[in-house]
Amino acid sequence: MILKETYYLISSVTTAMKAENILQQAGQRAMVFRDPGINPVGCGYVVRATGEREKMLDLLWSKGIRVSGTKEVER
Amino acid sequence: MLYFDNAATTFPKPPEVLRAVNGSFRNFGANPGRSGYPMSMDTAREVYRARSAAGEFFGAPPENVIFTRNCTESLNLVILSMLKEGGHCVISDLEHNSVLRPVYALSRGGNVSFDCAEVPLSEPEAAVESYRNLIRPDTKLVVATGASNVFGTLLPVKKIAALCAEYGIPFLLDAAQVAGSEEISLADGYNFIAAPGHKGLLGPMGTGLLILKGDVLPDPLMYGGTGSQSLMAGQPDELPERYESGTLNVPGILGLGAGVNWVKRTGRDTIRKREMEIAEYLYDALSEMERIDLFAPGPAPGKSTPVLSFAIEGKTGEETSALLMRQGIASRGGFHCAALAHRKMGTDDRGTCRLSVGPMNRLSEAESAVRKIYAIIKSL
Repeated sequence: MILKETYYLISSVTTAMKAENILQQAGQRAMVFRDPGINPVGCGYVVRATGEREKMLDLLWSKGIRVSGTKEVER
Repeated sequence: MLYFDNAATTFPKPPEVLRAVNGSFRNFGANPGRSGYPMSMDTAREVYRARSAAGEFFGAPPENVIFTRNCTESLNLVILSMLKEGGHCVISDLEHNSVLRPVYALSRGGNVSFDCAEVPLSEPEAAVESYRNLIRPDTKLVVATGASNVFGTLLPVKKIAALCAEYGIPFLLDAAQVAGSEEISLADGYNFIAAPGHKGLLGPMGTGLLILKGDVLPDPLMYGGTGSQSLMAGQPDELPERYESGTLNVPGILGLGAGVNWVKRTGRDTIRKREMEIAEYLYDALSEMERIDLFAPGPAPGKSTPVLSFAIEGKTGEETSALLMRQGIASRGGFHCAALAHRKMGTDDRGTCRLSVGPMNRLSEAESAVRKIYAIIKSL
């Protein structure tokens, strides 16, 4: 079985760190990285995290975090 | 030196602040929010911690904390944007020039007008009605200082915030003299809180904060690189990047974060109580001396900050301050960038000498200062 993680695309490093905290508090493994080039509008950050993507997106959304895109990656 | 100029900037800073600033050069010397290598990320994380500490302190989420150069920049950012289309503004008659001057400059353009609400020093609560009476249908912004930087009078800012909410007018609090000693929180209804980082919050000079409620977003004061959305010509809307173009003052911000944590750990009540005891001692001692003119009611908990303004009989504020300086007492003489306050109190002809107590002052320093001032009077 291939384990997957998700990149949550967030432009702001501040918001990305806030998202990282939220996901970690929800019991997920989460870490902020520089956007490897996913964001079509240029530089930013991604939070690479475990957990079910839709649930995590709902969680982030409920905390006011704007995620501009996601990408699944192999763990 | 006996330092009693804490309303200008607090001195000395706690050792934690010095360590944070020094450590930033050794450990967090890469540009935050621009790259992904470890030192850049570590620096961004430290900035985030400082932002979160400040946010928690003022009841704001971290992204609603904007780092600026000083309180004046924070005030200008809001005032220049909120009145850019014209309209009316109400300020108090105790405002610092950092509020008066941008409002006055806009009024010279012709489509902005402003009025000054009277704050009776003996009954500051009456200022709420003064503000109410000046609100007009075209009032776009209300500004009030938390306390006079010259006379220490606390304004009823929570009640003014409630008044503004009643009329649906954004309220900007100038927290220059109260951040760090009084309870200031977005929960009390402020739309914007402007604060210096280097006074009551004990950070380094060159740091300031703008705390946004987030329901009204002013235009940025500066546009430019934010390390995000670099292919777009437009400034990002996201907070805090919308307002933080260019490289951040990382040493200052990390020092400010350490200062905020020091205040949290020490407690605002403890700081306020300690400062007021010293200020009351100074006021009482000066009251008993001959040839001393005191210009406002004495410091009192809940009514004022630990600031007192005086002058030696027949001397200007600057002359008085110079006499104190020769005895090793650091004070501030003159007009304190507060034309309105001096005109109101009739001290615009000679100014005053201001003694302002900070969290690091000790009663023994005040006792020493009183002895020296007494000696100055006797020698004249």
